[in-house]
Amino acid sequence: MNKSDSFENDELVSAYLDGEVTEEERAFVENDPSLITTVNQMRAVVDATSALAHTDPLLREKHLTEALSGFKKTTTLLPFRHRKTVQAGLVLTAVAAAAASIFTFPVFDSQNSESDNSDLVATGLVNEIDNPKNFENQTTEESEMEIDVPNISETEITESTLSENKTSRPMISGEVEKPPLPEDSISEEELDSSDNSTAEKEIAEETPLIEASGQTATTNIEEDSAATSHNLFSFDAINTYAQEDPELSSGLLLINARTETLEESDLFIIELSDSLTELSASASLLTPVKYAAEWTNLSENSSEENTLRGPQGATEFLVIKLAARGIISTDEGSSSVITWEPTDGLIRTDGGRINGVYNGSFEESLIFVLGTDARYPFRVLATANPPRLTVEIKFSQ
Amino acid sequence: MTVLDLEKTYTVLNIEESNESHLVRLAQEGDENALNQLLRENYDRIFSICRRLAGNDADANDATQEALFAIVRKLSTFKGEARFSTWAYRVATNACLDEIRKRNRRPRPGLIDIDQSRSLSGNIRQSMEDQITDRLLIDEAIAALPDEFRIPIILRDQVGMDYNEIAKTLSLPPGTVKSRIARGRARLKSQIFGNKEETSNVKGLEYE
Repeated sequence: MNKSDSFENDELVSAYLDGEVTEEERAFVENDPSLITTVNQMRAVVDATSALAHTDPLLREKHLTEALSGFKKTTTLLPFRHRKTVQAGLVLTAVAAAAASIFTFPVFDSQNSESDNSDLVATGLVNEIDNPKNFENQTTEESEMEIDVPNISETEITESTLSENKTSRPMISGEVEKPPLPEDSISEEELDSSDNSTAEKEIAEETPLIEASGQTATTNIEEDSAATSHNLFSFDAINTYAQEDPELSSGLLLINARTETLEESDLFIIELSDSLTELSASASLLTPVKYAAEWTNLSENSSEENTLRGPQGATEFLVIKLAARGIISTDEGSSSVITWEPTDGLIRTDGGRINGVYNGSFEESLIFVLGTDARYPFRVLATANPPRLTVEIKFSQ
Repeated sequence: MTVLDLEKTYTVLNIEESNESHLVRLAQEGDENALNQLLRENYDRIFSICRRLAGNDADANDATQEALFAIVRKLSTFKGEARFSTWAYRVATNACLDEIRKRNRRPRPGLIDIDQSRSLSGNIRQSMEDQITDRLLIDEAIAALPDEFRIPIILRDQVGMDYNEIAKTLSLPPGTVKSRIARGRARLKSQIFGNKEETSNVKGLEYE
C-alpha cells in the first residue's frame, strides 16, 4: 500500500465512522479485513477526541457564577434599546503610532502640564458654552432602561454582565466638571427659585453618574439600576482621564470596532483586549478604559500640521480618544512579530446614521472620529471585562 | 429490542425533553435557578468543546466564559426547534471560534511554536507506546494538532455536527472538511499506534 492509498483508506474509514459514506463504500470497508484494522484504530482515536475534557470544579463554579450574574442583570437592567439592525463592523488589527501632539482639541490635549491640562478642560467647556447649538437640544430624558427586552443585543448583555462587577460598572463621565448651563437652557421656574448654587445642585442631580476622576463606582445592583436610570444623553464633553495620566497607556489593545443601529440611536462599539501576552491574559484589568469624547468641528480645530480627519460627507464630528492602542499581529513561522504602525480604518455603516469612523494613529491612545449630519446627544459606557467602550448617539429628539 | 423497550426509551426521552423544555421556558421568563440547572447540566460538554477547540487552558477558560455569556445572551432567541443542549453547543462553538479568531489576530509569544510541537508529538508518541490510554497525553496530542485539523475534528466529535454543518460553520467545502478530519485523525492514530509515516508535521493554517 502506498502513501496515497493509505490516505485514501484513512479518509474512507474516517468518513465511515462518521456515517458519511455511501452504501457501496460502507460495504467496501466492511468486507476488507485490512480496513477493519484501520477502523478499529481510528475508532480509538474518535473515542479519544469525543471524550470530555477534564473540568476543574472551582473553574466551573466561577464560570457559572459569572454567567448567572449577567443573567440577573439582563432581566432588570437594559439601558439600551432594542436592536433593530446590526451593521457590520470593520475588524481593526492595526496599531496606532503617532504623536498625540497633533490632537489639538482641548479636552484631549495632552501636551501640557497637569495644571495646564486642567485649564484646557475648562477651555473645552467654554467652547461648548460658546456654541449655543451644543445645548439647545439638550435632553433631560430620564432613562433608556427597558425591562425584559426579548432580543438582547451583545452590548446590552455585556454592559449588564459587567456592571455586576463593582469595578467594572459603567463609567459614564469623569473629571469634566459640569459647566453652568446657558441661560436659554434653564427653565423660568429654575431661574425663579434658585441662585447659582441651586442651579449647580440641579445639574448634579441630573447627572449622578459623573464621578471623580479615575474613580470607579462601588454601588450594589440596586444602586446600579438607579444610577443607570439617570443615564442621560448629553452634548457635553466627557473626560475620564485623570489629570496625572492624560497620556495613560493602559496596555489595552484594539480588537474590533463596529456599529449597531438601534431604533432611535446608533452604537459605536470599540472592543479591546487586555492581553498582550499570554501571561497578562490571565490577569484581567479591573478598571474600565480611560476615555474622552467631544463634539467638535474639525475644520475649526485642525491646522495644517495638526490635522485629524473625519469621514467624508459628515458635517459634525464626535471625537473619541481612549487609552488603548491597536495592533498588527503577524505570526511568522514560530515567532510572533508585533508591529506598531498607523492605520486609517473607515468603518462604514450602511443604513446607519453614523456616516463613518476614522481610526487615528496614536501609539498611546486611539482616536476615533464619528461623523454625522448634526450634533446629537450621546452617552458613553466603559466596561472592564471584557474591556469595551460603547458610544451611543441618540438621533431622535 | 422489544416494542416495550422502545416505548420505555421513548418515554424516558420524552420526560427528559419535557423537563428541559420546561427549564428553558422558566429561564426565558427570568428564572435564574432554571438557567443555572440548564447551564450546569451542559457545562462539562461546553467546557470540553472549548478546551478542545482552543487547545490550551488559558484560552479555553476565556472561551468557556464567553460561550456561557453567549448562551445567556441568546437564550431569548432559542425557539425550541432543537434540543437545548444541541443549540447551546452550537452557540458555544461559535463563541469559542470567535475567541480563537481573536487569538489568532493577537501576538502569541507564549504559545508553543512548530518546532516545539514536533518535539511534543515525539514525546507523545513515545509515551503512547507505553500507555496508550493516558488521557493527559491524548489531550496534548489533540491540542498539538494544527487548528485546521483539530477544529473540524472537535466540531464533529464533541459538538456532533455533520460534515455539511462543519463546512458551513468554517466556510469550507464539505470535501475539505472530510479530508481534514481524516488527516487529523490519521495523525492522532499514528501518534497513538506509532505509524511514523503519518507523523510528518503539517504547519497549521489559521482560521479567519
